[in-house]
Order: sequence, then structure tokens, then C-alpha cells
Amino acid sequence: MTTKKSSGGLISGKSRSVLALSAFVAAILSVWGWVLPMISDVPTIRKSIDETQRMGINPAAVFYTDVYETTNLPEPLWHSR
Amino acid sequence: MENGPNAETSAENVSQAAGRDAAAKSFWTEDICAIALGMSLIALAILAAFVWGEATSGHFATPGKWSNDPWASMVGKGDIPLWKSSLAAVVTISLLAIPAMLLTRRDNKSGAPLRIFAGFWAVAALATAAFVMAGQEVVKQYGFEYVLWALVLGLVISNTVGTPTWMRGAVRGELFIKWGLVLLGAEVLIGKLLLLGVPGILVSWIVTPIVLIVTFLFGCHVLKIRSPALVMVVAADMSVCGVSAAIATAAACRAKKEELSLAIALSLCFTAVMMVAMPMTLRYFEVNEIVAGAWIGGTIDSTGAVAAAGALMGGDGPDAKHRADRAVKIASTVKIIQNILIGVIAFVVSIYWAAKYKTDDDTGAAPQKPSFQEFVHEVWFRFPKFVLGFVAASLIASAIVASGSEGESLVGLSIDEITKNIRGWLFCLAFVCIGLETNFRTLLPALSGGKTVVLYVCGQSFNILLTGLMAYLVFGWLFYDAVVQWLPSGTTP
Repeated sequence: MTTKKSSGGLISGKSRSVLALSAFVAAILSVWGWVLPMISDVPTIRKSIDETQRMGINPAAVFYTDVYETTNLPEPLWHSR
Repeated sequence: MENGPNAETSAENVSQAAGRDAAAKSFWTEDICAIALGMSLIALAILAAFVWGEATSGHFATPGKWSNDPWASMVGKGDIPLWKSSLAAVVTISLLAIPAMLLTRRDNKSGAPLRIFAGFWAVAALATAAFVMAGQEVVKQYGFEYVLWALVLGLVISNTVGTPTWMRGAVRGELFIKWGLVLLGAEVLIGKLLLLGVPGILVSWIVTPIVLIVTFLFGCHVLKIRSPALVMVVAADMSVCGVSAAIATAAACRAKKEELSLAIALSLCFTAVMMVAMPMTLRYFEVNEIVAGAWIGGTIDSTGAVAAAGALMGGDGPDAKHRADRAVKIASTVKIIQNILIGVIAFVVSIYWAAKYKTDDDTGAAPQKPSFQEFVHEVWFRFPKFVLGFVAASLIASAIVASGSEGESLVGLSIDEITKNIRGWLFCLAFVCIGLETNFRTLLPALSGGKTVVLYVCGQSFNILLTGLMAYLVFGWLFYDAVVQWLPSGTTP
């Protein structure tokens, strides 16, 4: 990794990389720690989350075996497992 | 350096032959390791289910969902905290993966045992973070799967501070993917084909191959996208069942990791939009929930998003829950039948690719007019061997299920409680590795100047139209009464 300083700046290439990574980590912590929990309280979003949870559905399922998060399904859905 | 055509061809043939000899001497290739690891784990899981039955429940898991407190993803609601069962899954993988990595390492420096051990656990830590990110309920609700976050975390590290040298020996994305695919094979239960009878097969197995082939031809011959592998992965992702189809197809046609990454990112972004827009539009036009369920199931890429979109078909009113349940049941069943298509697609694509396209290792000139024996030998050489493990796992699990209710519950328990969770960890580890090996600059060519997005939009539009037509014809008219009888009556409790 080069330690050449940017013109007129004091930050080396390696420090810039570490700063970039730190900024990303800070962004993730902010979004996941604060923004997303706020969004989950928006009424329409809350309603759709509650509906999928009522049905025991995993909207982020990769394969059909991941779709139902519980074996305690409402009766109409049981037979599609 | 030019030595004349005959000498050059002869030198290339010798080099190619030497490469094949070396490959033949090393029996333990990644494909063979993936098959051995996958089949062993499936056998052990079935044995554990046979010996301990329901007591196997909860011992292997992935981090769960959370709303405001990320630690909730590590606790869960069961008797065994999720952090313990997640750790058990990762330890199990490490006990098998680390020896496999040592056996198939590319060089001795990055492949030193201590580096592989430390590197594996670093990759596992990133995979855990990806699961936690994916578990936040808003992220989960809109179908942004853990593979996306695994990729993002890997990409950020590799494109900022760079992947540390000590980790590189354990960055084995292909091994994890192939192993995960062999485990996935056990979940491809052929009997599920008949869940919905003829209507399900008509929508899932007639429309899907047509959309796949038309999209592939469109991408290669109309848009003239340079990489046929990229076109195939996008076509499979969009027409079959999203991320799992993209992974299986990419491995079958040896697509580049940048191409797989782009296809998945594209699919998840459009899926998040479609899972809200499609049920909203169908409710606005008062489409019957049975037709809507079939339409959603055959169109939206991701299996989880299909179920969630079906749930949104309920709308408002006293009958909302009943409509939602019916739509979810139809949509998810159509999607399950499409999921089963993965096995056939992966097998057919791998044979087609081996016959038509050379691999990166295949540098020699193809013999002029090969004999049938030479052609078969060439195809076998290029064929991705792990696909055999994938197909074998599917056939064995399907046969055990078909043997009776005891076999069905044995396979069901081993999949639900053991193999599908380990498969999830393997895919997550794989995508962290892919991110760690990918430079942002290599992603740009995969976009093909925007043609990839055009391919997806055009293919998905065709998919929506054709699936809609088939859904109305089959579920709305020809087999409507049979489907209504198949649906359980009554409202939910």
C-alpha cells in the first residue's frame, strides 16, 4: 500500500482506506440501528410486516424450504409445505 | 513468439495434456470435495433424524429476525438460543471445510493451516454480520436476502483496506457454493411437482422454460451481450426462482463471480419493487386471488417474496385474511413447483455449456470434426462434476420421501432442522468470499453498458405477460373448480 500523500493533504493511502471502511461501518450502524427501526413503525409497513409474521412467512427466503418460519402454520397454509 | 502453426499447435496440445494429467492426478478437486462433504452431511443428518427424531430440533440454525435490538437475532424464541445453534452450525462446517481447504489449496503460503483456520473464522464472523443485517424486519420484509449483505460486506473490505493476505487461503467461494448446492439438491424433492397437479405444471414447467430460452436468445442475439454465461444467469434468476436459481446456474455454466453478483443484485432490487407493486396492481384491477396467486408465483423471482406478495393480496375488508391465505397458498405452491425445476435447469445448462463452450482451462484448439468418443470425452472433461452430487442428492431424498410417510418425515426433519441451515451458512460464507475477491472495477463490464438491465426488464415483462395469460387460462378458467376444491375451505383462526 502506497504511503504517498495526496497533494496538499495529510492523509496517506492506507489511512484513506481505513477511513473509508470506518465511514461504511458507521453508516451501517446508523441505518440498522436507527433508520430501519423508525421505518418499521410506519403504519403501512408495520401492517405488512405483521401480516407476514401472522402467516409465519419469511419474505427473504432463498428456497421454498426457507419460506415458512414455523411449523405452527394457519391450517390453510399447512399443506403447501 | 512465433514458431509456425504446427509447432504452436503441438506445444498447445502438450500444455493442455500436461494440465489434464495434473488434474487427473489430483483426485481431490473442489467438485469431488463438495460432493463428498455434501453427501456425508446429508447422510449424517438423515441418520440423526432417524436416531433422535424431534430431539434434533433447534441444534443448527442461522441468526433470526429482529426489530430494534440486534441481539434478539441471536436469542430467538426456542429452548436453544440462536447464538448457540448458529455456532454449532459454523463449528460443524469448519470441521469439514478446513481439511477440505487444506486438501485443495492452491499454494502453500496462503494455504498454511493456521492462516486457513484464522481466515475461516474471519469469513464466518462477516457471514454472521450479514445474517444479522438481513434479519432486521424491514430489510427482511422487502426480500433483501442475506446473500446480498454478505456480498456487500466482502466488497467493502476488498475495495477499502483490501482482503488481508492471512485470510486469502480461506476465501473459497466456489467450494462453499458447490457444497451448498449439493445440500440444496436434497431439498429438490421431485414429488412436489404434483402438489398442484396439472395447473401447477402448466404454469411452472411450461412457461418457465419458454421464458428462460427466449430471454437467453434475446440477450445473446438481439442485445448481443458478450458473455452468454451472464445472460444465462440473469435469465435463470428471473424466470425460475431468483437467487437459488442464479447460484445453481452460475455454477453450472461457470459464470464469473462478478456476473453472479450482478444478476443477484439486479434481481433483489426489482423483486423489492415487484412484491409491493404487483399485489397492489392486481388488487386495484380486482383480479381474483386464485389467478393473482398463480400470476405472482410464476412471476416474482424470489420464493420468500412470492409468499409475502401473496399475503398482500388480502387487502382490507372482512374477507381479507381468507383471500390472503388463498393467494399465499397458490402463489407459494406454484413457486415450489418452479423451485423443483432448478435441478433440471442446472443439469441441462451444464451439459449444454460443456458441449458448446470451452472452459478457461481449455486453451488448446478443438480437434477438427471430433469423433463421438472425443466429443463425449470433451464434454465430460468440461462438465462441472458437482452437478452430479446435486442431482444424486435430489434423487436419493426424493426416493426416501416416496417410500412412505416415515421416509417423508425423516427427510423433512433432516432438511428443516439440519441441512437447510447449514446450506444457508454455506451460501452466506460463499458470498462473503465472492465479495472479498471482487474489485468494483470488474463489476462495471458485467453491466454491459446497461444492456443487462434492459435484458432483465424485457425478460421480466415477457414473463409477466405469458404467466398472466397462463394464470387466467389455467387457474381462472380450465381448472378453476379443481383448484377451488384443492384449497382448504374456511377462514384462518
